[in-house]
Amino acid sequence: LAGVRAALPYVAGYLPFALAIGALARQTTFSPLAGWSSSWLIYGATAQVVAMEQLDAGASIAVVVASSAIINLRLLAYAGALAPRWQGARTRWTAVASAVLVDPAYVIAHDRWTRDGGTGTADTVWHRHFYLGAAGALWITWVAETGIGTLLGPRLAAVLPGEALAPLMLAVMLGLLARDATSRWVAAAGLVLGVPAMAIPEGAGPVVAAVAAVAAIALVRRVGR
Amino acid sequence: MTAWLALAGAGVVAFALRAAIPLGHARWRIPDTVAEWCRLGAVAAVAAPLAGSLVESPGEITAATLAAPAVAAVTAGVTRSLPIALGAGLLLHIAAGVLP
Repeated sequence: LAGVRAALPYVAGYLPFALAIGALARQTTFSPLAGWSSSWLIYGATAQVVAMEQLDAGASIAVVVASSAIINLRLLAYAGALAPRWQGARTRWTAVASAVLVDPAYVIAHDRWTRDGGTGTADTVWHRHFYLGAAGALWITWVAETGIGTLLGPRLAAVLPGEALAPLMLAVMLGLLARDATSRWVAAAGLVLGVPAMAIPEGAGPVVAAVAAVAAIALVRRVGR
Repeated sequence: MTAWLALAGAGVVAFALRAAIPLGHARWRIPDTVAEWCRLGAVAAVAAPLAGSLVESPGEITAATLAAPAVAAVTAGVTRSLPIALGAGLLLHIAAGVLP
């Protein structure tokens, strides 16, 4: 229950965002049920918005999957950090814990782990329960809140301008992700390269632009050394 | 059907990324450099479609089209809050539509 309590501020804070994503699912050209299902299939606001935006623009399955993979690569790093603390847990528990891993769940678990002294001091079993309480609460409420947003879609559309919703949400996510100088340069490169990349067929432009942006900044950093 | 398949495929990949290390090789540690490039990749993967959605209809670009996302991004960076940033962007967009 300590984990659930720790997740409550995030649950409340994410409510308008979840409602907006649910409303976005209702405004797409494909099935609203498919849009909402991304909440439990993909489970990650950024990847969900990008996937819906790309599908709406007619992108192919491969492009949507590739974009989602690039966006979710950071989950590999979170999982790598948490895995040593999950050693000894049952396979089924680990599978469920992995499935509900998302940014705030990692932040909550990592903060508490650090506060309790970290490796060698913190009680691993207690922290496993703490993590699953927090991550489980986040998952259940996210799926429910986006579901409510999808159901209320037409009513929310009256207050949420549909055509502005996707770019606004992507901009907010960008603001949260671009925390330091390097990531702001990568963001700027992605924005600049994203425009000409629109000419690439099959909706593959964003994926190509993203890879090119990271490669360009890597090259600049290497040359600068 | 395409949407379902794409979302299911993206879901399988997302689960694989979440579970590969804990389920497969719990002793693996991700090098900091790799984690850093993963993080930067996520930033670029959000920036590129944002640029695309902003210039989708060049004839219809207004000041609000560009200003509202910019304000939302800066607000998110400063406040670290999703709802506040989204609210600020929406307010500006609505205000720009109402004002002459």
